[in-house]
Amino acid sequence: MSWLPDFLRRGRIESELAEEFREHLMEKVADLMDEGVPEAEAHARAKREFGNATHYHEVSREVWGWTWFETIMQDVRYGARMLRKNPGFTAVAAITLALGIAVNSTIFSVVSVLLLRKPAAADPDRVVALVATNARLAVARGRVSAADFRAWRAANHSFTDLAAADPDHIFSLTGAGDPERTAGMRVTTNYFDLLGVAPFLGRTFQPGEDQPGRNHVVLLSYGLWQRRFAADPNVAGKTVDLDDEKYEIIGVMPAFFRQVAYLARLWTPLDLTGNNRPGARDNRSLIVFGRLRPGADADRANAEAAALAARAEQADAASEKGWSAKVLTLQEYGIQEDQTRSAMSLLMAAVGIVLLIACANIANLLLARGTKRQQEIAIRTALGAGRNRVVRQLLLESFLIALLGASMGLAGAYAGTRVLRNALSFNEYVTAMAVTISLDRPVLIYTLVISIGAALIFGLVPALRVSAADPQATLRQGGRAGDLRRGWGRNLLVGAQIALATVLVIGASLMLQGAAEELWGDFGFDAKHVMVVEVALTSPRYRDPARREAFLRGASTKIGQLPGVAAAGIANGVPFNSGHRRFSIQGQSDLPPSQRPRARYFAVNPEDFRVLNIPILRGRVFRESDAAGSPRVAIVNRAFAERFFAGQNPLGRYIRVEHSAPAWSEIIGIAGNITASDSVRKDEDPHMYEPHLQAPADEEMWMTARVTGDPNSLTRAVRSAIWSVDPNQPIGDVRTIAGLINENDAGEFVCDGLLAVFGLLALILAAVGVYGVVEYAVEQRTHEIGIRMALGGGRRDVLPPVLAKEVSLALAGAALGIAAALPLPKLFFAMFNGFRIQNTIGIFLAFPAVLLAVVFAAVYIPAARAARVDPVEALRYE
Amino acid sequence: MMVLQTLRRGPLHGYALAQVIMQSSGDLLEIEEGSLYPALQRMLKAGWLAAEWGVSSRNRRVRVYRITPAGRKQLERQVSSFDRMLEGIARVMRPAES
Repeated sequence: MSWLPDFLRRGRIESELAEEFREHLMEKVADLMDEGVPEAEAHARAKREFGNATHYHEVSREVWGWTWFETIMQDVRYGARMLRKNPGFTAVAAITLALGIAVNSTIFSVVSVLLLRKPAAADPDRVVALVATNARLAVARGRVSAADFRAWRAANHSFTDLAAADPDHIFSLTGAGDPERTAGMRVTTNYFDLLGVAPFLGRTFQPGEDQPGRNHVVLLSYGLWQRRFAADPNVAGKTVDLDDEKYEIIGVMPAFFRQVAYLARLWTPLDLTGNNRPGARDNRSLIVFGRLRPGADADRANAEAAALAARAEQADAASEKGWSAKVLTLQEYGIQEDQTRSAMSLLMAAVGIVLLIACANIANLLLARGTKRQQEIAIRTALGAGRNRVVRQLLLESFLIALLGASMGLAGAYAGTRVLRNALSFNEYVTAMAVTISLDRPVLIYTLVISIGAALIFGLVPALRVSAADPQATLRQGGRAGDLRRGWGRNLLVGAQIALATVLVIGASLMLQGAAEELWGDFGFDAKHVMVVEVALTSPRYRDPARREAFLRGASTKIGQLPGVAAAGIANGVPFNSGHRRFSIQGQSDLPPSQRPRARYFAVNPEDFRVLNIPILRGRVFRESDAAGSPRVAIVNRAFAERFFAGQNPLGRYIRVEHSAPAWSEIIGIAGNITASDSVRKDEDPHMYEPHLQAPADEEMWMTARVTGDPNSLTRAVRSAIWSVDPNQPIGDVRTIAGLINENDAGEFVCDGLLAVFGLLALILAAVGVYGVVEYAVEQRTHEIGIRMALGGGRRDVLPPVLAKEVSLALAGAALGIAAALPLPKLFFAMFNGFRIQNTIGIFLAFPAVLLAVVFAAVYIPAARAARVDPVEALRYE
Repeated sequence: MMVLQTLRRGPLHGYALAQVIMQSSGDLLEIEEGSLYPALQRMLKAGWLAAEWGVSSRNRRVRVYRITPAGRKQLERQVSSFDRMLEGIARVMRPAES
């Protein structure tokens, strides 16, 4: 920036130069007079020989290189004056752009948090997750068994250390306050040291604290500490009951410590010694983290991970066949686990389209205005302004508009981030992410870049076209000539706008339709009126089957007696929160355990079928007498019967479900299909049911209830009913299955909602743009319409030719848009796990039709108005 | 190059510089007085020259230009490349000797 000090003292440099010139002349005059030349002639000769002082002055100024800056400042001042003189135009352009920039910056603020921000760890780029992969089973980020973890930790050369975490455990938290179920993580004692995160209070785990006798220590999350322990600064050293055992609180983690991909409210040491049982290799439950050794890079670590997995495969082919391993940076692991990239790219594409449509609108406005400004520009050109200078002038005006739009857009984005923070608060994990959404530095840089980009997009074509006009022709013909509206530029802009809006509107509608089909689809049960609550029978007192049964039956009966409850059941899982088990069918070839088929598995009481309204198509439903001592029975659903008993009657056949006490059970009934997951259609999802009294005891059980009234009013009553049987029983949230779906998929619904908003915005912007352009075009043709009317044409004769061109342009744009949108359902299916959609034809035809109707109105209204004009009035301008 | 060479002999102000160049070239090279100044500004900006206000032989306040060390280096570079160029031209112009 060496020119800057020169620039700042340019006034002095210039006056010095002027003085120098003067002295030069005076010296020369003095010399000449010494030679005897009379004074007056000496002055004249000196000046003549010196030449054009002003010219030399300018050349000297240019040497210092600030003239470009001064002319730009002139252009800026001129541009600002032009914008001030046309407040209407300026406001429309700036607001249009501000809308486009606001939605872009808002969505990018989420991108910044989800995809750009580094995870909470020291030197986060050196921390990786080691994941198991299996091409045959399509596992891309599998978890790792304890045996593999131990072997890798001992043998690797790429990492300073490896740590493991088991994120699946839900702890029963009892003692002071309501008993609750809370997500926690069991981690190896080196976990926090490896991440390099210090506790907010107290200490983290020490080596050896994973050993029995020392391992009853717990770290709290900041949120849990605030909520349940009232932010007690002396909390370290106190005890808390976890799964009915006493744990000592040793510390609190800081608020910013957000666990990658998992919500954890507390951490306890992970004891790996119990994982040496035979068959434990198949139990892949651990996430493994490593810190790269100095000098080791991701490639080397990847190669080594694959080599370690290959070694394990040689050592134990039965369980390890087909499994390999790779590393992902902690950040990448979190992004892939959160599955936010697809949604974010979709939203960014949507807001990108909105911005492009906004740019097209402004470009059209500029083109139209350029027509009016041709005279001014012709005069400037005639006075010697080069084309570059004219283009620069026009572009500078675009940049000024962009600046205005960007500042208004940022204000809008600020409001947008507030809205998003509220929308993204449907569960604790998302809330922890959402509170950090702000207009941070990446967002500001992004805003700057898109503003400049937008200015170039909407400014360049009009600037080039307007400046290309021949000044002679313009000046000769007066104000009315130089028609810019007839040109590829405008047609392209209008057509592209309609095509883009069509794509976005169809895309948004497809996503909405997908969500609607999922949410209001036919589940086979009434998701809005089935309430479920998880109870965890982790307490040692429930190891006694009789007490366990008494509690479940008691709680279910109490819930069933509540007013507004039609039926109450017991189950080990509920739709949208259930698991699979492998099974064998008697009489069919017996496969090795790892190749046996899997089906969704429920252990339920007879009432649960009534709660979910599952019809028994053949055979009978369970009875209370199907208990521990009686013959084992099972029910399968229709999808199961069709897939695994193709054509045969399953009733009376036997299946064996794999769990801790596998035994053959007779199939006594065939149930109707219900939807139990958002990723499988109900006719393709085989289910099997066993009486929960014949199934092995599950710690995690659910109370289910079908309600008739408002489910929300029953929440408290259901909790009280359970606590009236056991006041110390921790219970999860009481909610409907619709609520459960919403909690799982609320992110998708927010995404769909945003898409809908953007689609609508695109539609409005496109309509406004088309309206403006057409109105302007028709206005230009008022004269022509007037002549036609004067010659005896009726409105019917006059309007069609005007309409035809615009409508055919709109049709072409819409057709292009539909063609571009055709692959979207397939694309969404590939991008989003569980996205499926039945009715697409309606969307592909209905929404472009709406758009075309808007375009037609935009064409018709100004055209009709023009046709109403008195022909005499129109011709008077001639 | 001529300006730098001239200033190497001692600081001068603009008018004097023009006169000296004209005289030392035996009036062969007439420098256009005005166009000297843009050149001076260019060299000032490049740091080859320094300028300060002084007094001329006629007791007028004038800006006196002085060559800087960077200017000397530049001059040497230019002179050597100029010499090479001259030598090249001379060889071409000289009738073949071999």
